[in-house]
Amino acid sequence: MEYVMTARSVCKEYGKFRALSGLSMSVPKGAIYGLVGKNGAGKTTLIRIICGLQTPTIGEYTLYGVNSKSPKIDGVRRRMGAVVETPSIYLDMSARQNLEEQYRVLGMPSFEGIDALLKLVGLEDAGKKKSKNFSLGMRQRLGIAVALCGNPDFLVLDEPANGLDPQGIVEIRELILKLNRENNITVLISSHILDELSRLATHYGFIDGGKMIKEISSDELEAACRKCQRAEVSDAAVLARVLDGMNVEYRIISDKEADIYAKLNITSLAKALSEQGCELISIHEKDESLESYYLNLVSGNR
Amino acid sequence: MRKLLRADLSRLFKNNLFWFLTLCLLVWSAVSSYDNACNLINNPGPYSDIVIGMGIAVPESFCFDGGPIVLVIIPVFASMFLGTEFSDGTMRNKIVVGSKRKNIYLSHLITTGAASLVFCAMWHIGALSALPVLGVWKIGVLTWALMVIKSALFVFAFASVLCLISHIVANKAAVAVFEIVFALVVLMAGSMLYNMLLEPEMISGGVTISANENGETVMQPIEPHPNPDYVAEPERSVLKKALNTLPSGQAILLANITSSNEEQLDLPIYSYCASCAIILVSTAAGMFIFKRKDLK
Repeated sequence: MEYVMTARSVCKEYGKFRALSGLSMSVPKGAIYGLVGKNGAGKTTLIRIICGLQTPTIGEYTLYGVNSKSPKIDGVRRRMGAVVETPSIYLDMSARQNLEEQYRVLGMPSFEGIDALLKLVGLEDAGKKKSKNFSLGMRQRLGIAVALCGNPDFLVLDEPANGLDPQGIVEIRELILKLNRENNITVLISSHILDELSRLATHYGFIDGGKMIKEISSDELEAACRKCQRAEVSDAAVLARVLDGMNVEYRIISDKEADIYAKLNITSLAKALSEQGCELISIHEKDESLESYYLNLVSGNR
Repeated sequence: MRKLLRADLSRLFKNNLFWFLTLCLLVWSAVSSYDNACNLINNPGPYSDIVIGMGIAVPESFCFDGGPIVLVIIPVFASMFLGTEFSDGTMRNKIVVGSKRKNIYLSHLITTGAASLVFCAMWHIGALSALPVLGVWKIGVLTWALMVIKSALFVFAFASVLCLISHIVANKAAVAVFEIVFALVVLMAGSMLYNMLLEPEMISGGVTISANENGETVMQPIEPHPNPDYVAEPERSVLKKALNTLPSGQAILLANITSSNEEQLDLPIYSYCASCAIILVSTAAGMFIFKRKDLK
């Protein structure tokens, strides 16, 4: 798999406080990578490091295969765009002037493409209105437009839905999906609004206490969170044989546990198992969301 | 670097505060120079006769007296202009797309320095309003050019120190307060040094009044005696160098170009070198610190 960004054992210390402790992660190309973690978990610190605003105390990361310690890293950053915490815009300038300023920073030969960018983020009618008079949603969209100047193929968004009203959240979500699907932009997005993230992300990274506790794709997460019956038996191999015989989808968790993705008659199952010398110890319904999955992970990490 | 400079200069030309301060300095200089010149001509007296007779009250003497004012205006502008990069977070847009920090710093320095030179030039141009009142230009082109270079150097040196402070503090409100206070402290220090060095070595000219044996009032001139506030060598050389090192000291010396002590206190070559050294040291320190600074 091709990775846009990888991090290896990244540590960041501020005096005696350790914000990141040996974090490793990989962002696959074309993914919407959701960085999940509570406040203070280290999401923003990680994003600041990836964006070059801060340097790791220990460890390194790569962008498009270029090591963070290589002098070539600045050149590779040209392919990136980011909105870190708050949108980085000049408040005394209009939306167009902000984009023109970023075009100059990038050394773009002309301002061609600014109209398309404004249209993409829905600010084509903002006119000469200064950004200080924009709503939070408009500022957020302008911040994304600034990040999109120069056609980056890796977009880093830190809490893009923070402080937005429901309409604003939907607009930002649709914009991110559009950028990912139509422009094939890889997105790294941090959020603690898990419900929102679950509608976007193709991959997840769960951070807690400055460490990456789990990286998982949305397919794997869906499988893990799928509604099922968790059965505990004396021998999982026997259970597997019985379930094969019943033509039921299942997943073996351990030598005594399995998730069964079907509504079964418990009496029939217990009888079939008993005939093969296996006991059914317990069975209960399991219905996990991203939120409960995350909470389970975090509690398991302690 | 060229891209960043283009972007920063473009932002400078769109900056309302820059144009407001430029206009203020131009009008202030024009009005005060014209008014001062008119006062000298319309209120003849021993002082104005001497001043005009000696060729001291020439238009060019007004061109360089705005240095201290410019040094107070620069931090107001620099703190707002550079502070915005940190407070609005726009500095991030430059770093994220791979702009090198040393280039960002140099671009900020050049832009702030250019704006400061424009402020200086505005005072110079405004002071020309005294030209029709006091007559033609009297100092030579070379002398004028050396004075212009001197003011340009100390203004740029001061801007480079403010650029360093802006990049270290990185907080718009704190930078604004810190830089304005810094400018005032530096001006006060320059003024104190100047006044200390102006003290005469000997005090004379007084009289004592007493009554003689017949009860008549007798006035006797006091013999010249040493001034206790006079700064003697070797401290005097040190203070002179300090005065010629501080941008505010250089500004005060230029503003008091008509002072009879000017030749004695001014160290032209030394002041050029001091300004260049301030620019080099503050820029090197600023780039070093900014390169290692964790940004939010």
